[in-house]
Amino acid sequence: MQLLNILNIKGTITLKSGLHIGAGDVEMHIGGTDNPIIKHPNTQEPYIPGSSIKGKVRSLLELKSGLVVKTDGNPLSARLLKGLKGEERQECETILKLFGSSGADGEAVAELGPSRVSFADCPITKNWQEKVRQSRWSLTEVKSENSINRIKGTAENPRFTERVPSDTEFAFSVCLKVLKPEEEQPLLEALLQGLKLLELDALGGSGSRGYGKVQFRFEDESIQKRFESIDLFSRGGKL
Amino acid sequence: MKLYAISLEPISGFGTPLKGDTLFGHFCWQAAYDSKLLNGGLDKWIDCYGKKPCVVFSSAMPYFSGQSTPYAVKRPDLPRSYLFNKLKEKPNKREQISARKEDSKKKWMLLEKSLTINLDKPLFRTDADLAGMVAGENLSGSFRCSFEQPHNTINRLTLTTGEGAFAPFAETVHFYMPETELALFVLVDETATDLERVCTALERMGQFGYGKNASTGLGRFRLGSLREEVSLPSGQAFNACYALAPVVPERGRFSKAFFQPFVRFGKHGDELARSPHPFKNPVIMADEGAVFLPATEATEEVFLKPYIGTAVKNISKALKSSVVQGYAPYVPFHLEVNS
Repeated sequence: MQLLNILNIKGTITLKSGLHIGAGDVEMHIGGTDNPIIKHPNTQEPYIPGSSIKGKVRSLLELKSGLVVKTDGNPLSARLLKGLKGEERQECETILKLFGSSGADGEAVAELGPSRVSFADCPITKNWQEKVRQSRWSLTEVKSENSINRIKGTAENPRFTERVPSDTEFAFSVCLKVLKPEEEQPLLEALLQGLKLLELDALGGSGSRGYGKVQFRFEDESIQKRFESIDLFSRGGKL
Repeated sequence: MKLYAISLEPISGFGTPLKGDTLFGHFCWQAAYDSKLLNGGLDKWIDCYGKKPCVVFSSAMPYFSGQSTPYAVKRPDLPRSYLFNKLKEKPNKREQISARKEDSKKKWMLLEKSLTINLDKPLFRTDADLAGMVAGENLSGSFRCSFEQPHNTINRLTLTTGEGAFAPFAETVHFYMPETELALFVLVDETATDLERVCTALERMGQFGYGKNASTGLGRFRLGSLREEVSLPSGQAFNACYALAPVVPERGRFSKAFFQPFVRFGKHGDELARSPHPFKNPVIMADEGAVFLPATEATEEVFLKPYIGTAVKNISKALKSSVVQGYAPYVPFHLEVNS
């Protein structure tokens, strides 16, 4: 294997709804929310960790592959390759080459090579920072929620969740290592498919309740056109 | 060998500190995938690494461009009496204790561009001082801070987190203050490679990510404007070496050593990180900031070379030919040894 190229795919992620990527329950500040989001420790500006995008894109690609029934919900690993043939094997290999595999099966992992893809953390774009500053908006919002008692029909369990507001823009960057010429296009295609799946699904917490809808806009026009033309499902997402 | 100073601009958090031996490991992986980075390829230079290192990396240290003392290195690991006593001749015990507390916070030493170390006129600084230098104002914090970043694994059947393998966990991430610049000193054997190729390797490391969790956003940096050859101080009666990276000193070369031990529990990178034996044997090193005094009979020999230390071999079950950078670039200086 030889490093032939590193494709750097850059663009913008625009939030189409509030985004909550939790900072955990490590500490709670007086007057703070009980569900804070992750922020840069120096600037206190929210950012999207590369791990959030990588993890969600991988899990969606694995779900689409249908191979997850064989892993009991765990991520795909090189061990699974032994029992696969044809298209299933190819799909599994593509995911493992892109995102990496656990070290349980040394030989199989060595054949796959290193993880090809590397997602950077996504900071808020300079444009958005400026817009927020000029408009005197806040970089975050707090959404209150509750649950409804099914018998009384009244609100219970109020909670306050911090989110990054809709329309916020983040700078997105992902690197793809090309180690074999014949791998470049299939891996790029799979990566773009994963990002398309993410657009259709959601990033961060509470996705089924409307949080975390995102839209990608790529700097490179050819990548943008290719991304827009991706048809993920045979029925094109229609009934 | 030529000594170069190269500046880096961190643009993300780091899971792994930018230490000389880890940077060398990353450079080797770059050379393994691009044979043009080292003349004759990586294997040739690994074979002779014990006698002739191709590149020796220092650890990264804060860099302040345009200042008369642009580098901030770790305070030498010398006893306090070598560093502060001359400055703190306090009359009473209370003042002495107070001064000692103040001094112990000063973990950094500023260095001039000429890299001259003069312990009679030391420029020791605290973390907060460095934060102020980066921000251009007085700050109470540190120029480097850490926080616990939570992670979890998504259950592919439910697309939620949960228990067991899917339970949330936290990992420590270190962030530098925005606009912090770091400097590396790199010794380059001109018969092996050159500044341009070392910079190419560093650029790729910074682009794809350095160290732990590189594929999920950590360890990003870009190269700064500083890429120049530097000279070590010369022409004086030096008797000590200040190490700029973790080092495994040669046996019998030094009469005195002042250092903090640093145990490198190394792990293979790239594809070997996921091999059945990803961990290397631990290596006990003297951390950067160590001071070594060459034995009288070895003084000339030590100061002839621009680096100190040895190669460390036989540390891996996954790849027998693996080596660890036990070498370190050093700054020669004169240490007045207390009797």
